[in-house]
Amino acid sequence: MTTMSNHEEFAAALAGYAIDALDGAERLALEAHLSTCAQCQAELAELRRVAAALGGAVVAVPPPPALKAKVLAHATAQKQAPRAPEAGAPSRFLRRPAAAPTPMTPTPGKLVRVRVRRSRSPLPIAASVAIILGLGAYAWLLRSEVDSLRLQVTQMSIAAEGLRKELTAVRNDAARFTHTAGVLASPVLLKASLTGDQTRMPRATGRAFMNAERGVFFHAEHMDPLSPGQEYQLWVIPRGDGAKPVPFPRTFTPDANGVVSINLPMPSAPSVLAIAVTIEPKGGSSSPTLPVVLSGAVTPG
Amino acid sequence: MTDAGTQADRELVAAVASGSSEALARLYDRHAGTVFALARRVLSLVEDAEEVVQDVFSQVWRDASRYEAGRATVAGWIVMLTRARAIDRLRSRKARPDLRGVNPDSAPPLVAGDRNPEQVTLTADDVRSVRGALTVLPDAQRSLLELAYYEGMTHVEIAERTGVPLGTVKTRIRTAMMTLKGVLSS
Repeated sequence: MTTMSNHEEFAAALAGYAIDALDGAERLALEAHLSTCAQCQAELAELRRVAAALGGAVVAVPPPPALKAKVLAHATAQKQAPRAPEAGAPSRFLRRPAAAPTPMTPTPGKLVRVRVRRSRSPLPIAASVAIILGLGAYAWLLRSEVDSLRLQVTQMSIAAEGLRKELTAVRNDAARFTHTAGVLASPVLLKASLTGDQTRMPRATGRAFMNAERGVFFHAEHMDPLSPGQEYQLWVIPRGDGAKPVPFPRTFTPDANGVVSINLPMPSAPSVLAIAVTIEPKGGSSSPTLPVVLSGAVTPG
Repeated sequence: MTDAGTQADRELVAAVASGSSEALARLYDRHAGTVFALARRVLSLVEDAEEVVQDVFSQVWRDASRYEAGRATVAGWIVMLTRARAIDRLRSRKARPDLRGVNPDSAPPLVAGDRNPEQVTLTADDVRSVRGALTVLPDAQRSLLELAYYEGMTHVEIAERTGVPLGTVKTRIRTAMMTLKGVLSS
């Protein structure tokens, strides 16, 4: 189990946290860090967009028609939550740090006491009671976490022996895995951020992710509509002076919102310096019609 | 989930919060296909997926008044609820055969949909981009990401299941997530 101690380590764990892949101790350590780190909170919000999009990426399947009436009858028979959430209700305490706009101040207990004493409009008794009850519930939740962690420690010490044995096997495999990791890290995934030509298409932006075996995924936004008989074409700009641009095999047109997301096979090119987009006659060209409307240099992914 | 669709969803949730079963029926029409498909992706039994659909729309009914829009979308809320409910059910299915030997305290952590699901943004653009990017992720990354996302497995569980070293599991999943994050529109 890795013990995280600095911002970089916590930040690296956010992707796993966003899809609930961290184990107990790691998760709690990261949550403690999140409560004080606005940068990690912002990064987590983006990663949770990815998590939601992964769920939304499944192709919708209509449920059986009879299910609708059953679901609606079951749902609407239930009591609805009151409109204004109650202060101090446990669910408020369960909210994630991402919901907190500002980092927590150190020694909050001390500050709270001072504020309560000096306040000109003291909290109504009912609200104070609600907060105390809420804190009680929170303490109970923490106690449950502690008990759960204790159990995990016991289980982990038992598991440690097994892990030691696995480690030996893993060491034997190290060379093979090192090779795999190397392949994944460098030439397999290349990426490019594309920007629009400042005069012809200044708002256009795009991203390309390239994998030698799987081709390219290209996504662009704010692409201008084309005249009839025209299409966009994507090009590999190879390294080296005088190297000819290599066309991707298919042309494309954006949707009505100027958005395009396509997968294309990689054309055969000796090396890739940049990716560019031009406007071509329908069906595409073998050499690009200038100027380039969107382009970007390729970097390792 | 166009901008207009996002706004329509928010208005429907507001109506649900006021007790409109008609609005819930319209939310069902708009989202039940995705809810059912995602539940089926996680669970093998159709009956289980149907239960998840019921759980999700029941929770939407109960908690509509707590939904806080902000930058978040109703679609994001519903998708994250669906994943949470489906994985809960998957875990309870897995635990059931050997309940006698399982200590309930050792259950895996709650999934994100239980924590703060209403704070998640999901747009049609995000879905389209991620769907496309998934097709070019290296298999070694995508397969591990799917174990975490659709089977609710932790890094450690994935390492145990696949035999891939724990550090490699973490790196591959993180790389995959960062790649997908890279294709989201800003």
